[in-house]
Amino acid sequence: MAVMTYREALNLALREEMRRDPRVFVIGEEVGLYDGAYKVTQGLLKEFGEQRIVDTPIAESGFTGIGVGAAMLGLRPVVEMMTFNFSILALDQIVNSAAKMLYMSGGQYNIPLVVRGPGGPAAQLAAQHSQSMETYFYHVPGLKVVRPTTPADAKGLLKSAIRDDNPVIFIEAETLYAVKGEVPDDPDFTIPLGQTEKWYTFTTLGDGKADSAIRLSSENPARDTTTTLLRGQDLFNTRTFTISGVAGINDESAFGTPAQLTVTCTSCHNTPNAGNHSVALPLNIGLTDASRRTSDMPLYTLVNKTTGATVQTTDPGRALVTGKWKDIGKFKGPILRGLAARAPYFHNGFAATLDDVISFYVGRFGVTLSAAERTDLLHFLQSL
Amino acid sequence: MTQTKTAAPSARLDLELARRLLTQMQLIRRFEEKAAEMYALGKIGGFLHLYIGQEAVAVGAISTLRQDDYAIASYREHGHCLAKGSDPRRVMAELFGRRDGLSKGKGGSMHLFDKSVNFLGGHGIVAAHLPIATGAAFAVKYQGGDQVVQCYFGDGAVPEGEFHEAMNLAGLWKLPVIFICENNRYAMGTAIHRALAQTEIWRFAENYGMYAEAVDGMDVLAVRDVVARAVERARRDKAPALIEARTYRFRGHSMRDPAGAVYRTREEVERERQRDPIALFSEHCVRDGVLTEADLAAVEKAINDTVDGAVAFAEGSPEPPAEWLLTDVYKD
Repeated sequence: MAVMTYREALNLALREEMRRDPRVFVIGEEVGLYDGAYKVTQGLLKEFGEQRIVDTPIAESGFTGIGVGAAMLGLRPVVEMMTFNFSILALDQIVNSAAKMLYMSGGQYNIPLVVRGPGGPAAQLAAQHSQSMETYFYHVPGLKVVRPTTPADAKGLLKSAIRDDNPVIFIEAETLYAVKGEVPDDPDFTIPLGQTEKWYTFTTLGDGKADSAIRLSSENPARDTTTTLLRGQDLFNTRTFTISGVAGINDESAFGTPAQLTVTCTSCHNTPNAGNHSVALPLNIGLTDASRRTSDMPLYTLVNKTTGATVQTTDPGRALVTGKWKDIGKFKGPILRGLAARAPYFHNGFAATLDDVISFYVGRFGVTLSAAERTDLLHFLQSL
Repeated sequence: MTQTKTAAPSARLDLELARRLLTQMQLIRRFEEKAAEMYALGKIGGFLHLYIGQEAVAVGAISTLRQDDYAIASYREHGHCLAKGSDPRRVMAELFGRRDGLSKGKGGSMHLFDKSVNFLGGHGIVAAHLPIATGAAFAVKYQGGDQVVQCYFGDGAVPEGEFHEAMNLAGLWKLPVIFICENNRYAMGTAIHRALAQTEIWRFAENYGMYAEAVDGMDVLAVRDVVARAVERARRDKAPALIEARTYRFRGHSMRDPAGAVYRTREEVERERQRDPIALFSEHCVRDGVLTEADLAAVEKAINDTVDGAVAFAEGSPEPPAEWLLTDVYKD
């Protein structure tokens, strides 16, 4: 084990992979003569020469496309985005070319391409240089998205990304470049993408909460971050509870009409790695029950003239659009991104705060949370 | 059109070459006429962009390549794929969306790929494949090879940023790529003078330090001569080139624009049809005594059989199974 910074770990990963495989080359703005805008590629030009450390003009779409074309002929390009904000200029090449080539060609042309660079917020960089682009890329089939947290992660995951046969979006945390940690010396140390320690699959906290935690923490910031992420993983992805009485799930044949269903948070809020987006099905989770009516809400009594059944609801919901009895009280789940700024919550503002939202779910589905877990969950929701 | 090169003398036009060029142009023409029929019958869905009228460009240019050279094109790419040597049966099966298509039925008309003949695909986003072609040429140079890459696109790609980024990088790094702009004068329905401040497209190359020529794209031998020079330079000197082939699309932009007559006049279309590249070349060959009328008939007969065989093959190929929707998303 050697102690090194996150930046040095990335540099070492590039070096080792370039020594191991002559097909690997680095291309991007200022990667060579300038030694990298963030010094991740420092010294690589000296070791590998201009043929393999390729400085480009400012032309993100052009040089990313060059990476795609070179990958089609069997090379393994590492395209550096000076910051990931600039990847938007290359989005067409990443999304339409790199991600879809294997599929469109019926499996003939895979694209072993890594697009890497710093992302996320840093100090006082303003709106155009502070974006967390991973949530864009999560939604593109054909891409793998990696967001390393510790120096060891940075090395092991970048090496795996370069060896992967698919296009990998590798977003480094700008605020972590100088953070130190222990990194295995073994040049064959890799961390498999998406299937190792469970917290590797759960990286959104790395953006806001974890970065802040590292700056505030004094002793072992990397371990603190890990612990936070592990707690989150346990809480949202592995803690089960039971849902019942949800119209659209417990009564739909597609789900086998189970009266009770054992789930986790991410069973419904299940965007890969982030949990930002919700189940697409309109559901009635009971928000419109007459029992939850407050004095400022209407109360409708609806009568089914065929069956004679009646129902009392504060909002017919989707039934107003479809005219169907089974759709009474159903709503589409909202996107969870930016939740903290969007109070009040639910379709009718029933919950004034995120804490009220948690109270609703705890009461409705009997989710058991300790006080510490409840705080973790609240912080997680605030970080989305 | 003062810069347009005319056909070279026919001294080098022997029987074998004449028959090969004519056969390929006829194959593309007949293949696409048949595809249009199949589209009308509902056997081909989606978009179908026909190349009819432009055959001399792909056939003349690709005839200068070795088998291990590369070609890449836009979404109007049936002709380039066939000229590069793909099996017409598998191309037709791809248009039908069947499992024996080049891309297992998952690419369709706009995304023909054939690794076995180094055809790097048809690409559906205008100009996006120009940087990819440049990257392929980068890889050739990186690997120390002597192949070249031909990249086909329309005049509609020229106003895109990726055209200029790719041209700049290819010129800057001296990469063996030949950009072949098939100027058919309309980007969908937008005439070239409504899209470009500089309508002499070959002139853009001057700014990128690149060799350029314009050529009559209806004359297969002229295309062949001009492109052969560019290919030779690219192979020998690792120098890129821009060739502007002036051509015309006889049909509409796609099957949804059958007449293509809203944005251009009927008279113009009729006038251009008088310069049908297949008719021009056939007359040339007969006039010079290289081919006889009987030879022409024999070519036509053979092509009809090939195309009928392609349709029968496509009809007989099963639909891809539903689970293929989710394969080839990631390579294991």
